Amino acid sequence: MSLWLRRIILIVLFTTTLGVVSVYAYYHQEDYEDVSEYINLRDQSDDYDQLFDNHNFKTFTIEFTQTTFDQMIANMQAHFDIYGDYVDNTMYPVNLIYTDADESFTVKEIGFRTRSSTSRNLPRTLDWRDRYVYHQTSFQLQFNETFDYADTTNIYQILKTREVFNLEQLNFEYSQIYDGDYDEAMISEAFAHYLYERAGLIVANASYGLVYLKIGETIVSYGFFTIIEPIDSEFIKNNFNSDKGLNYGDLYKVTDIMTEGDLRTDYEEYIGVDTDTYRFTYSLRNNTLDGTRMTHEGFASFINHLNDSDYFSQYYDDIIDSDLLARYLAIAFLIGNTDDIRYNFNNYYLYFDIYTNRVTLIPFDLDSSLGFGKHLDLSGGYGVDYDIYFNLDDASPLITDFFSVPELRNLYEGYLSQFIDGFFDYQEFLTMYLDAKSLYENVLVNDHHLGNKIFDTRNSEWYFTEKSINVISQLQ
Amino acid sequence: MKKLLVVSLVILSLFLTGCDFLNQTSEETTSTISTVYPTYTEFPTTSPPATVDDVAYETLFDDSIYKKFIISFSEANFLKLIDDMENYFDEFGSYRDNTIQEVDVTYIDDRGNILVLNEVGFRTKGNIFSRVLPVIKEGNNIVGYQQVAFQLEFNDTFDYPVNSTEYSSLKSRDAFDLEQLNFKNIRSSDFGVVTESIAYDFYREAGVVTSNTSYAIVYFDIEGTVVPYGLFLLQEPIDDVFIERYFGKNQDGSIGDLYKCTWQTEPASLKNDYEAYSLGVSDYNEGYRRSYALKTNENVAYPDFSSFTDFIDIVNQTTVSDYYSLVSSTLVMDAFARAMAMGFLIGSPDDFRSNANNYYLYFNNNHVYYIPFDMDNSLGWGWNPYEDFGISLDIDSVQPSNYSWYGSVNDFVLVYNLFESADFKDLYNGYLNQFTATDGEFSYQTYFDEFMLIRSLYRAELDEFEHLGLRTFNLDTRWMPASSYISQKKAEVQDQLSGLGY
Repeated sequence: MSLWLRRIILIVLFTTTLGVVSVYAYYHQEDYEDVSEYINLRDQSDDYDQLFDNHNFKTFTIEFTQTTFDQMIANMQAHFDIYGDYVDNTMYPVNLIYTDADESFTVKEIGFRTRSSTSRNLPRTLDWRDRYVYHQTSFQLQFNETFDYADTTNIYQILKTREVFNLEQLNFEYSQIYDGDYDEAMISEAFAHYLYERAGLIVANASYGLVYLKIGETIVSYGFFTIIEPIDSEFIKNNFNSDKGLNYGDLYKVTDIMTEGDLRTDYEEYIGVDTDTYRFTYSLRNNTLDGTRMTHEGFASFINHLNDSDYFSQYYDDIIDSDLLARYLAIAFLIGNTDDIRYNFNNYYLYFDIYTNRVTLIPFDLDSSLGFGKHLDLSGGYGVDYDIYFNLDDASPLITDFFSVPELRNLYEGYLSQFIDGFFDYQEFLTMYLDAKSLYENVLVNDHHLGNKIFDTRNSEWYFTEKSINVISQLQ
Repeated sequence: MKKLLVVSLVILSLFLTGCDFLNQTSEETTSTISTVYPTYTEFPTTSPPATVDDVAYETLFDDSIYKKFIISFSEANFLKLIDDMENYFDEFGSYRDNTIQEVDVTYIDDRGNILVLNEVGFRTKGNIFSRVLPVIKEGNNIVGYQQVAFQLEFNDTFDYPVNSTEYSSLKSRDAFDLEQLNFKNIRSSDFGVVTESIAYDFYREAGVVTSNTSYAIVYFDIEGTVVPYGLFLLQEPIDDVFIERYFGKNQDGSIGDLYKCTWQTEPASLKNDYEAYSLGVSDYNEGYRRSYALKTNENVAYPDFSSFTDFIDIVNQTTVSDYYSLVSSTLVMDAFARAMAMGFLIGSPDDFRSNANNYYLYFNNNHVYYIPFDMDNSLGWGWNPYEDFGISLDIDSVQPSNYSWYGSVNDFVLVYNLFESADFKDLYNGYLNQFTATDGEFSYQTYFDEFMLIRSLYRAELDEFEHLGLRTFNLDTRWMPASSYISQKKAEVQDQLSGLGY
């Protein structure tokens, strides 16, 4: 080979090597960010409608790396070992593959955490022969989670403002077992949300779908889940008016986590902004001033007025949206969930209007409804023969005040009658049930999903019938 | 050459490591007894994949459905089961150890249902005489297996901490709409086979609340060693689930007090002179069981026994003018009369009326309900203290089966005093008459049909795999053929009733 030929070959080799190295270095330099794949450019309103369309077959595949999933299990177990529960709210990065009848898309690097306080499960355990056992648990996807990214990075800015389905978060509820049984009707919680909506209430949207976990290369058919819109700042924006500065009023989540959420005057030590380790019965969810907010004037005023029954009887419509409250109490009684404000001082939000401080009550957590689940009537009768007003001697002042005003009582009775004549109807329930069954049952069985797979109307026809008969009887 | 040497060294080290691992495993499973098992016919050990998540209660107790259970033990757990029972024997002189061991369970039926339940509780069952080791031993060696009754607990939580996912997952689990299921081996010389299940069926057809029953063939799989364990009676346990199924729950979700009444510390005669230790909550770690053992509402610091003691007070007021009315104020008399009548026909000498044994009392809302159980000595088979299987007994009196234990028939305080009452005898005799009528509930045809059904479903498999326990199905070579017993008993009862004007 001639000298020139060798030189040419060497030069070509050198140049090629240099090019390859340069390209490699370019794409691997530390500050290079190709963040376009994290941006959600989809039509969010359309996606929201698709998400909550019960006729739309939906699956959610949540991809974990094996390491991430193992770490989540280890962290939850460590929390249990210290505190005796699995309430570890650490967010773990996952990818979401959403599929419905028409399309499929992937959202990368969203946050995943398990939810609930008392019913939170470890998603995976080992049994007596060291076999993996997977367990359903409720969880939340957070689409705007920023993990440990520095706030100066592009990816942080993109993730911080990212929404999917027009939501910042999405909740997934599994069907729990009560008294050894699943809710084989499957759609009860979603139907309860639907009934609230039909009653004219402001309530979270709900639907259902199938969930798969992809952990490394392992796919777990995780079961049928009710998907529920979170009640958060986005929800408030979508359902209430703001002032000219686009500010909204205060939103409190009320649960019995510290004490009963009975709205009595001894609330002061139970109100505040939740931290990672401390959760309040009256938990402020917005306008928190980055967690520093100490005053709750609007709430205090509401409590004072509520605990003055004379004042309430004169000015009730200034204090609370009484028409919505009457509608709420009527449909809640028909649905028969006793883990609520009337029977258990639990599970509702209070939204205070930005201008008037007038309160709107927003119910949540409706999994024990329509003749299934945890109920104060433990005989198996699910309270079908309960008194239509209330049956506690120490009911919340909101309840006693309401029913002591004749006009409100009449309004409530009218709504009971109207709802029974209208949409509180087993056939409506059956229609939604049959739609869901036709969409999901075969897949649940064929893919060996966790949780209940075979649909059954259980006692639902009996419940609708008996409840309606009893209410009508009392109204007469 | 060097490469070859290096490769050889790696292989050698891996080999040695493997040997070390095997040695460690062996040490972990070392037990006081030998693990040399006798050879049995190989049966497919790998369970087929599950087709269902649960099977209905009605399916389990449908006798026309063929059912098979494969109980899978780890070798270590099977050995621990034996160890625990032997340790109990060393301490208390019987094998009545109730320590729960983990097993996996596969249920298969001829309707295509395959149910796989992992991590299920297993314990043996039976009394002082009937509870034996599940193995036959010579010295420390296992040389064979033998049948023993056992119980599966589908909701046992083992040692998992309360509130853990494992705990709540297992605690909330049921199968066949049951939390537990009893397996009772069939007495090997009762070639009629179906005696006990028919006795339960007779009671139920008579309107008495008691256990549902059926049959299944059972295999033990001890890490690949398969033991064809025989035909077993499936018996619905009488527990809180049973109470909720048949009696329902109160408005506040509570249920009443259930007492298991058996001849343990003394005969369960309901006399008011019982020893204090005979009433309470049985704890097998004490080495004995109480004659009146509270079975529900017992897991509290101070169990309330007042429902029982109040009843004892009433039952023992024998000098009142109207004993029947007094007792009827609390005892559900119609059901009790039905039970006494059908019990008399079934003829178990080990029941409440004959031996102050083998019944439950359920107390709720000031009512007491009598629930009989354990009927393997019945219908002309088994213990025969009356020598004619009780065929010629007087229909309306108390005749103890074991006189040596009783001072007088007055010791059977409840039954004796009720039979002094014309009102009770009217009620009771009416039911005797009904049950023994031509188309009455006490029918040999029921026995015969069940026998033919169970034989057709299980006999071939019992023979093919040389199952333990009963394999002979023969109605004629039974101690007393059931057909003879039932026809003679009916004739005798009808004869006595006719003497009373029926």
